[in-house]
Amino acid sequence: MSSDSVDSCDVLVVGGGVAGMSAACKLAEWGLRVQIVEQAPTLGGAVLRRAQKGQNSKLNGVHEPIWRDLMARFDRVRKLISVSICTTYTGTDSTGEIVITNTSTSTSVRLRPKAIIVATGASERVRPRLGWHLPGVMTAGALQVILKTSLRAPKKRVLLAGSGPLLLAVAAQLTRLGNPPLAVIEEARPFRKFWRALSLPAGYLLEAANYMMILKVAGVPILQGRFISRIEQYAGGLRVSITGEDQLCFETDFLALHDGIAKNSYGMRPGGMPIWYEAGDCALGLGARASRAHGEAVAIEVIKQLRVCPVESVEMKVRTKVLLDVLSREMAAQSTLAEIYSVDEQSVLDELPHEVIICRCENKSLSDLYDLGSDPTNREIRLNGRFAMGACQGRFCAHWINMLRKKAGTAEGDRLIGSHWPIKPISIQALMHESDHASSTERECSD
Amino acid sequence: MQEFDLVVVGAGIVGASVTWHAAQRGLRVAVVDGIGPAAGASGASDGAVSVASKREGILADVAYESLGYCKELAKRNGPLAGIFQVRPSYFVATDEAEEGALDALAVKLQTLGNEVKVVADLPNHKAVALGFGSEVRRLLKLDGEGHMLGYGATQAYLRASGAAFFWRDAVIGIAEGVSSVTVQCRSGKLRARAVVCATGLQTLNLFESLPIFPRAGQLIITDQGRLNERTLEGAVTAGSYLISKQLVKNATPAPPVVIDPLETGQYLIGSTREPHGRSDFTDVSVIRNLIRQAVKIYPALKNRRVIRTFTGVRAAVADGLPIVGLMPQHRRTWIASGFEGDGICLSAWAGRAVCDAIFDKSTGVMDAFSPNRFQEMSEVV
Amino acid sequence: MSQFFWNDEPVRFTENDTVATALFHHGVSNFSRSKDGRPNYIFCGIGQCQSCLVRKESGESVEACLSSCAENARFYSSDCGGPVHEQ
Repeated sequence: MSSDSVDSCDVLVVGGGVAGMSAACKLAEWGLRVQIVEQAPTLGGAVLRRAQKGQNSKLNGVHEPIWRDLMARFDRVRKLISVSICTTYTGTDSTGEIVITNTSTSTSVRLRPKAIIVATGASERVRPRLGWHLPGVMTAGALQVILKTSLRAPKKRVLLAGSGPLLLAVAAQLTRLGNPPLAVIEEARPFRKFWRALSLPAGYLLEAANYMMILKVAGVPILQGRFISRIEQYAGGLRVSITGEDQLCFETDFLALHDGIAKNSYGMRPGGMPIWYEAGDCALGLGARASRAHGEAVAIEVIKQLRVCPVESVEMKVRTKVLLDVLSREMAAQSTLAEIYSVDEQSVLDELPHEVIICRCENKSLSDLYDLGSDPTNREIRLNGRFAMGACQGRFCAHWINMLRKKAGTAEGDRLIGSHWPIKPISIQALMHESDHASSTERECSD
Repeated sequence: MQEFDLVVVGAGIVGASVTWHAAQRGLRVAVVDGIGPAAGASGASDGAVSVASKREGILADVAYESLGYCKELAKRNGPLAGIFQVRPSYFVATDEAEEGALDALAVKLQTLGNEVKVVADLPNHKAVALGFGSEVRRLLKLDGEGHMLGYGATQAYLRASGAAFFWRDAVIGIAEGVSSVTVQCRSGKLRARAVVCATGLQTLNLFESLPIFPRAGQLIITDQGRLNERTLEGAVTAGSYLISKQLVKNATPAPPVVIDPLETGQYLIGSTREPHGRSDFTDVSVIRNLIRQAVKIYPALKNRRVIRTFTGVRAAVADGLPIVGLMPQHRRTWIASGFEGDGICLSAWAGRAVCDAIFDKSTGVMDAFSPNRFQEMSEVV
Repeated sequence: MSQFFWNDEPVRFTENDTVATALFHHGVSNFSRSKDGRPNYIFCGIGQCQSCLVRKESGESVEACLSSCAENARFYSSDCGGPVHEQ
């Protein structure tokens, strides 16, 4: 398969994480030829990121067995699966053509698979705060990628803040690598809802208990009901002011923020061809167990649509039911978690100081947004305000702009972000230099 | 029911210019749009204000007048101050057909006047010395043309007008009476002495018999280059673009590229002329062709990234001229539409001309654009 | 241990590193040399925010968090142009 042209694949799977691998294995088990593209240099995605050597990063915790299982299945069907790392999916155009780029060689490949499964993982929500644009402020997920990829903790001070279970996970991972964070600043009060947490599946509770134990032993404070009021540069690092039931100040080198998981739905739905699905956290944001199930469930849909198995197959029906049960259990769990970690974000947004930067790419502040009037149209926000017009194309600002103007969840809100190809920037060199096949990396898939 | 002197339907650049010109006369103006300012072609275009790119004849003549007028409006305290800039413009040829187009351009400019002049006519090696590609056979540099982004100008005209705005408000119908015209909007009725429909393709919703049809064009936005990187001083237009604007249907071998340097340091690269109206339509092979040709013309582009593409849809007219004038069988309903990509350049002229016609009863050169010309055609047939 | 060059300064990397993680551990706290105030460092870590852009020797922009390291490769600050804003 590695020497064939990429164009001869039946299904393109975008993303080499849990959902993508799960989908790919299922598709190949049914005899379909699969091309996986992964933008990073290693597989595993957010949850199960491998270090370069393909090793378990030792930080993947309770989910690591999922990967071992997927790798075992992959091995049995590896002849039908081609994997390209450092390869980015740039989107699908209106004619159904897909372009992937290899960022190492600056080349592109165009393909027209029969189906595409987009499994690009979740995005993080990070709410704008005063000073969040300063160097040293990153997402908790970015910090997690650094830890899992490089297997080293920074030697400098780290503070974690925001809301959500990921903060505890990353704090614990930092601690295990030898550099516990200064504190975890949690906006919600999850411990007050302890009784609700008891309804979560045992696996969740064990994971949480494990993290909290690690942090307790290392003496990392977890402060609840506290909000960041200001981030400033100070003495070569950052000074972070906290309010809530008291006023605190932390001096740190890095601040990792997290305000929840966002879907990552920037793909396009071309009219008709190819068959197009989203799988895993990019669509559901439910975590590893759900991603594996969803990847497989989506693969089954593709298998049926490509007529590789009869639509009424009993075996598939039974399997699909099992997978849907997993998904509903995970959805219920996420819903409980959302309750436990609930924060009144609208109030926080409505009280944001006007100097806060909203669009990081174009350096546009809240006052720039208010200057557009009380009810600007999407065009005015983009063209006159320059919001959502930079390189990230609104990924980090559009949601907040919609909440600020009370259009979140509306059609107008959705259209603040365009949906043309490319879904992320593409190098002109790569666009001009076409190759007829992606480079394959069999080595990647041996553990 | 609200009363105005003039209702303008359509908040694109032409509608905005009409609005401002009417407000200048002390009139009360209402502007209605189904979405908001620059929601159509005005917000999805490049910023070249160019006489050179206009077909010779009445269109080039009016564009010439409009360009001069833009410069006046851009003076201090004018509505276009800070929006319209005079910039050099470049025209390049990479093959024989394009060289022919540059010859024709030079001749056309001579007949127009001194506002726009060829200040340099460079052969290959001199063009290369300026940063152009080795396949550029010939380069014309013009002084006197300008640049104005459609949405910026639209917003500028509207803000300076003090008019009443009705956004997200569709027009359902227009009914003429003895002494006034009533515009029925979703939100209510507006009554005025006259109404101007500057509605681009939506004009067909109001007057379905007009020969307006869509022509889509894909555009590309790049990221910024390095600080202090040499950039173009003005837009570069390929000779094939000039050829594509003629009425003759020959396919041009080279893609009709325009490379427009923006103030942000980004480049806006266009475009095509596709026979459809889908603003959601992107075709990578078209984008790739435009990019390849653009890099051929100006190789420094090869280190940039495309961060976004979009599609603008122009309102085109079968005979290639805009439709400006009083609607046949009407007394108070005017139309200013079908500018097919020339709206930005012609907007200054159009706003003044339409108001002169409505309120001073003086039409002049606008007669050439009158919708009556279709009436005559159909009578003949 | 291998090394690549960041603005002509040697930076060590292990085979587990991306350009971003190598620079992070090397102590680089800002990828930008210009004062225009826009973020130019690791933010999302997954190639979406476009904050961590750096330049390859060829002049192309790439996300540091998606770029693998190669012996003696040269990476530079983007030094992107654009309007300068006071912070």
